[in-house]
Amino acid sequence: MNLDLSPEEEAFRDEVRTWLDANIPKEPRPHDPWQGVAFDKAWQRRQYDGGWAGIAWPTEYGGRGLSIVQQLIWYEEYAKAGAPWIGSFFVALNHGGPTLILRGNEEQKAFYLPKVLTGETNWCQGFSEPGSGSDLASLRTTGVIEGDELVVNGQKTWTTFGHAADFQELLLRTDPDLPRHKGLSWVVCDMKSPGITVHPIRDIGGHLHFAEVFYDNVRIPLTNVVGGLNAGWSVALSTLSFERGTALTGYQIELARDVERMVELAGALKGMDGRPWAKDEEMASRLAGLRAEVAALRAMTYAVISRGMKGETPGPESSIIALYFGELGKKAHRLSMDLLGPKALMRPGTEHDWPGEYLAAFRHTIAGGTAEIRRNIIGERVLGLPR
Amino acid sequence: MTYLLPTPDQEELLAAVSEFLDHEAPIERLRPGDAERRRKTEQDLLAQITNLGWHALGLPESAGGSDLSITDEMLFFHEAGRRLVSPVLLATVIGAHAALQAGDADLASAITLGTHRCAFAVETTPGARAWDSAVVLLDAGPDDLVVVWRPDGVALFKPHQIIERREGDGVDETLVMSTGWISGDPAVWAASNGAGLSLRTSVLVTALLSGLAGAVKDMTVEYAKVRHQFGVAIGTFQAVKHPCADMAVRCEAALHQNTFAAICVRDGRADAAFQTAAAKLVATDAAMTNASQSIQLHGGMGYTDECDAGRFLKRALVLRELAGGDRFQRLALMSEAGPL
Repeated sequence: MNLDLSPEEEAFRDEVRTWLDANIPKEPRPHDPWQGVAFDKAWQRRQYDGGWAGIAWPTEYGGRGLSIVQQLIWYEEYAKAGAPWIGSFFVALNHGGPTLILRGNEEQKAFYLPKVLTGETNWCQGFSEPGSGSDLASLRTTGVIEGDELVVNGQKTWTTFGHAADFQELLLRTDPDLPRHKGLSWVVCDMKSPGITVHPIRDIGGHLHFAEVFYDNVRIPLTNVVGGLNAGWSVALSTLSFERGTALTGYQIELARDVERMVELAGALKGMDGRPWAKDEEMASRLAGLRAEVAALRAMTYAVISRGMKGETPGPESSIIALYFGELGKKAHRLSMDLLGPKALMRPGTEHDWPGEYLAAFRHTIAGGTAEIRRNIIGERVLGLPR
Repeated sequence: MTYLLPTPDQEELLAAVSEFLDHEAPIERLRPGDAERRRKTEQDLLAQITNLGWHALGLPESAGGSDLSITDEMLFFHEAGRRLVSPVLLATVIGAHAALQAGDADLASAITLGTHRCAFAVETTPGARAWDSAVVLLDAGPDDLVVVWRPDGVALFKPHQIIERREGDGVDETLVMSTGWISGDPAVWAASNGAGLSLRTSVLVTALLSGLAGAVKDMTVEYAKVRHQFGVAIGTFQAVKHPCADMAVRCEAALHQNTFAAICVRDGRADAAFQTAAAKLVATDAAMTNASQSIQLHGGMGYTDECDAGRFLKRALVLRELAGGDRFQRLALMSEAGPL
């Protein structure tokens, strides 16, 4: 059991830190969705030029092919340096790209993967529908074969950056006679295709980060089907075997930084009764609890990564840390609002947007698997309780 | 390389420990019955463990130990915690470490060999500085050395130094609990300079709590699979399934933070005190909340003396007072520098 890095790992950390310090954009990521995407593409290009594109991708596909510990170091230094949010490149780098690496054919890999690494194209995800959220396998957007094309009709929702993405990983029902997840196909959808309409959805924080996407007789070449017709469910799940938990480290460090900012705030601010928060035992107690839980989250992250090093592919127990992180994030940001009191009633222009972060924290127990579903997965697949 | 899981050697040891404890320390041994017989059974168990040398894993060979480290001790005490093994076992380990640190190698060996038994006393006098506080003794025999934890070190008292002893009605009936008063300065004082014995004690108490939380989770899950109502196992219902999931989450947090803290203490890292406080707080929450929830999920049975859930809760109440309660840990977390 160990927390130390070897000399080679320390040297790698120095290399990462040096490059990041010299190359992180000085200006913050713009709030405007389209300007934000332009920013994302430029930052991805810069990482590509520096040799840091696709850090977890195999080198044969243009990635850096970092080991698990090196990935951990990259994500830690990235978060510590305050490097930009991955933004609209999350799906391309962590989902769509890896899916193609695992299940795409050579033509698909050769065409799509380099354009992600260079920052030329970003991706969005077309999975959830208004009628199919937690019950994704019930999805109804259809793809009917006509000649050498699929004709797609239906609707997707919660498509993050759908309004500013070049490609979409789209999950369709291609065989309505097969039940639920058996008749689904995973296809690459060009977001500029005729028949696609995108309506951005304003989220609780006022941002236009995700969208509804409508498909009206959209034609997609059959050559865009990945992994074969009606294999979509297994293709969609294949990225689970790619992820080693290293990206969690970045989130954990950001949360730790937020909690330490709250400790600073408590030291600086007074409550509405004029008493410094630093003298408030209840607030100190809550902050102490958060520090302890954030520490535990880091330890759990290292344990997940340790399992990856043993060669274990993440299983249902990954729901444990996801659930812990989601609940902790909400609890932490609630405290920041309690510290600020009426000062949190106005959204600040340039400083740290505490109310915005508090509202944004609600998504962590909803997106990517609700807390309720995660508890079901833990109960059933980790603990063996009956369905 | 960052690695937080047991090594193959450690896994082998754990398998042996687990098999032994499953056989020799089933939870049934603590059920209500003849208190005298229970006392004797526990003493026999402790003698067996002492013979196997597992209590001396982290002690140097010169003192009769295996020359391993606190991470091995932590793994062992997690298993011991699962079976509610008496805190006397940990008191023995800490007593031996204290004697060694204070330069009394003979005493350390005697404790390791079992010639001198040790038991914990928890101070109940608030803000105690001088050595004159009231204490609660845990499974202390009349001839046992008494181990008292303080933030700045560990004290050993000779049995006669604990006066006005009265055996009482402790909240945990599986332990012989008595009250008394400390009288006089410690026979042995092992001061903690930095990451010392105080932190080691805390890490290992945390391991007992972490193991307890895990055992109670497993027991509750098993119950949820066999107890049927409305035609199905109650674990089918989300109102039962989800609290079980939350128990599992608390166990993961407790186990891995305990490991992190153990490594920090072992390696003398600057954040050892911070991580140790975090670990005890998280493990205490896991033990107390899991045990409380377990009572709830056992329904009417959970409210009986027959059900083991109550035993886990009561032991958690005792263990959380060892090596500083929640308030102490929170103060430590706020007075130490933050983690970044």
